[in-house]
Amino acid sequence: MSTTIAVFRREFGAYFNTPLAAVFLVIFLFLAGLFTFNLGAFYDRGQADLRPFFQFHPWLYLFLVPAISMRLWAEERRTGTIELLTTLPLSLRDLVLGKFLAAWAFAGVALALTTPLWITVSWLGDPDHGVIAAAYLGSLLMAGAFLAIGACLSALTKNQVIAFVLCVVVCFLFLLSGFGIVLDFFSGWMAEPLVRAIASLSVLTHFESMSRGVIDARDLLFFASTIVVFLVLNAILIDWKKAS
Amino acid sequence: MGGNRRNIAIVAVLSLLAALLGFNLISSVVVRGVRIDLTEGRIYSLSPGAKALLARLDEPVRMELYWSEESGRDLPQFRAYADRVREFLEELVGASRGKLTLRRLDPQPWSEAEDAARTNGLAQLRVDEFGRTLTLGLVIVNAVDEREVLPFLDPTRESFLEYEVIRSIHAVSRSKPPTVGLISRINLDAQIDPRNPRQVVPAWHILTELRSMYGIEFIPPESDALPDGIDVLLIVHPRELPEPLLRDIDRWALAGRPLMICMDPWCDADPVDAGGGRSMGGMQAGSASDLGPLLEAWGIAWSRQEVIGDRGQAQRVRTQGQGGPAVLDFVLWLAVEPSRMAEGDPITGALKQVNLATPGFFRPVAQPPAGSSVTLEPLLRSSEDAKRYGTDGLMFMMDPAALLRDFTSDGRSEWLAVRATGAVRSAYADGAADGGTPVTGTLNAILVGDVDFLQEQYWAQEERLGPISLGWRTYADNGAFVLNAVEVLAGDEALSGLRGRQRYTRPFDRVRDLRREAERVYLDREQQLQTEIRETEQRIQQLQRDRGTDASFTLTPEQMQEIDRLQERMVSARRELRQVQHGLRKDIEALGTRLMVMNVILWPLIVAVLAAAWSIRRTLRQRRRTGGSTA
Repeated sequence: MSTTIAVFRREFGAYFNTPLAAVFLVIFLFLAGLFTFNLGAFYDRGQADLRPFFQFHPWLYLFLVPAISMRLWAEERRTGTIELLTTLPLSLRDLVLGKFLAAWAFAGVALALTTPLWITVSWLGDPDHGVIAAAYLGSLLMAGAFLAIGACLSALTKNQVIAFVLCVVVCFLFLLSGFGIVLDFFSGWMAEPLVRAIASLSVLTHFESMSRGVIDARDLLFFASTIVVFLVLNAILIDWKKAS
Repeated sequence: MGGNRRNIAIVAVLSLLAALLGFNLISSVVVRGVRIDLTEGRIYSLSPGAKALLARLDEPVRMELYWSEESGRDLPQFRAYADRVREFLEELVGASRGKLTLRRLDPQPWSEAEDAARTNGLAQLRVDEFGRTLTLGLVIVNAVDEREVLPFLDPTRESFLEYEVIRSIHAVSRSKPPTVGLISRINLDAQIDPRNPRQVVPAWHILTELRSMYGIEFIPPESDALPDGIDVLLIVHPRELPEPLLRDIDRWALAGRPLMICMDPWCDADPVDAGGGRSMGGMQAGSASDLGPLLEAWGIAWSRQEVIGDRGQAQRVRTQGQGGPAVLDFVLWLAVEPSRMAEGDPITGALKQVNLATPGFFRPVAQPPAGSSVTLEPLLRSSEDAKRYGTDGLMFMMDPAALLRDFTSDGRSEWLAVRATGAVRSAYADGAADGGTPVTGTLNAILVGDVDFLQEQYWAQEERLGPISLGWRTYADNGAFVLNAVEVLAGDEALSGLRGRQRYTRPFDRVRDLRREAERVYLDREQQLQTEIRETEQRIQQLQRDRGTDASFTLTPEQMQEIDRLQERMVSARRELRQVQHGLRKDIEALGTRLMVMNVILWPLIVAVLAAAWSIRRTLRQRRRTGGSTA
């Protein structure tokens, strides 16, 4: 556990060693604000809720989360530091978990920095704070799921650009797995219950369910299981790459 | 060896993905009902009122949920909602101690279920160009095959699902609904359109709602007496009721029997020609109603000549003003807020907004008649920023801008709807020659100073798909107010806690205050400038006329200067007027821009600066540390 924390601290600190973190945060805050005010017409619709803000999160994350996750392993593999890492007295679990948690915490910092919007809407009117809190939790979990997917895919390649593109594609599939655009691909040759199972993996549906203001155990289990499975996959892939 | 390892990895990856799939599939079925509802009104949770009602069911009731599985597959929003509806219904079944059952039907094309869906009048939404349709509806049937149908369960109205389902269950599970006797000067029922005999004007939605819960017995306003077998008496717009009927109403009221009266000093739904019946260029006025001598005798004052304007709770309306179309507060149309409703009362306790139009007001009479100790509890109140208007000439004052401009508050919160209880004296006590009227009795009445609020245009809108009604979208709780009131009077309060748990709007209070202030300033200034322009025009005309009477007369340089000056002033006044009109939304827009700049530009910049500062500090510290170590 303490070694996981050590990895976490090292990785989390590393984000702020380069200007990358600041650039990311600024872009995230700028885009989130811009989407909320312009596309979401937050001010003009005159309703004290944060729906115009949260409705764009899946699409923001689709491009911004892969930007965080792409370097997680691809960078280590490219520079060869992965060899060094794996010779340290650290378990693979510590490494995978520490890196993931650091990335997730960083995404959490980005999300936490959007609280001025919450303050703004509370100053303007009387929003339902329970709904906003639930949506924040849903958004954080969604970022976690995307990050786990991204971390796993980052382990596949030495090239960050490839990791980025792969992650965008897979996250997109997960986002829309309940929609015709994805289901049509499976429904021709897969058994109906399997197609339905795939449909139940739609990140968008689970996120929207939470952003109503209801925290359903199944939504939590969905995000948790997605994160766990992709982290285990991540470990398997690292192990495999290391061996080969 | 490497290949073997790779194979193991591939198998592991695939089986993990399958596990993810399987886990979520199983958890979506096994784990249900475990959730925390964080919404303010707990709108997604089964309310105690619903549970109590379900526990009291004594006859079996069957629910039939129709959902097109196949058509809904590619529509995740609908599918997710259908799942939630099914789970909600299962939760109801669980709370009903076995009286409630759920049947799920999939109306596939050419199936029996499709026929049944059609027979029950469920809506079929077309989902693609190949004519595939989607059904998501509910039929609730009791043991003797009486049924209630919800033709379409709209995902955007999820917060009303509980009320609609529970109401339907309640409606089919009662042995005999109470009977409401309805006396109304206005025909609320469906009727042939007098202007177009081939058209039918549908019944008022409020009547349809009442009918779904109660037996309705129409009592013609010309009747001499109330019929037997009535449980609640509802009187709507009692304009010029005959004395024998008034006597019977008095008798009914004194017997403490439940009574609800909607009366109005200005009823748009029952217009009369302005000027005492003679047409004044087609101008129509609202008609007034009262209960003859009854209210006064009961100790309740009611003025049929005064309406309440309320700047604090005014509705917004579109108008055609001097500077083009505008949206303004219309003080005679009120949107009564929860803070001006009786708190904790089963009638208003859960309501969020009741819209009224030109309402009157009630208050206790200054000198209560001997033997009367009536208690009035306000159910709906105006704000303190309210004013009484006389109804004579009201039609000339229906301009929202003018009303707002000339508004001076009386500073009193008026009572727009009251519950009246306690001992009262009969209006006909002195001439009780018929012997049937007791001199005193106990009142149990609800009085509303408005009739127009019953019209759906003030609170609900029907959504249709061709000939099928998809249901009504309400934007105020007027219907809930009436149903709650009748229900409480009928002693059947099971549903009142379920209505109106959802807030219709959460407006930006800051923006509203800014807007009100801007409008006040704008209207004042507009008035001033217009007067100025008018006066200047007159002055110029005057000067030119003076010259015109005498041909030899030429303008003195002073007069010419004066005209130039006046013209200049007029031009500048006109310009300022335009600016004032443009400026009406300036403050609001400026606030919006400020907030956007703060959130979208300023805040990210602050974060950037902080992050940069932090990273510089870190670098410096590291450099110092490494410098120290090399030294």
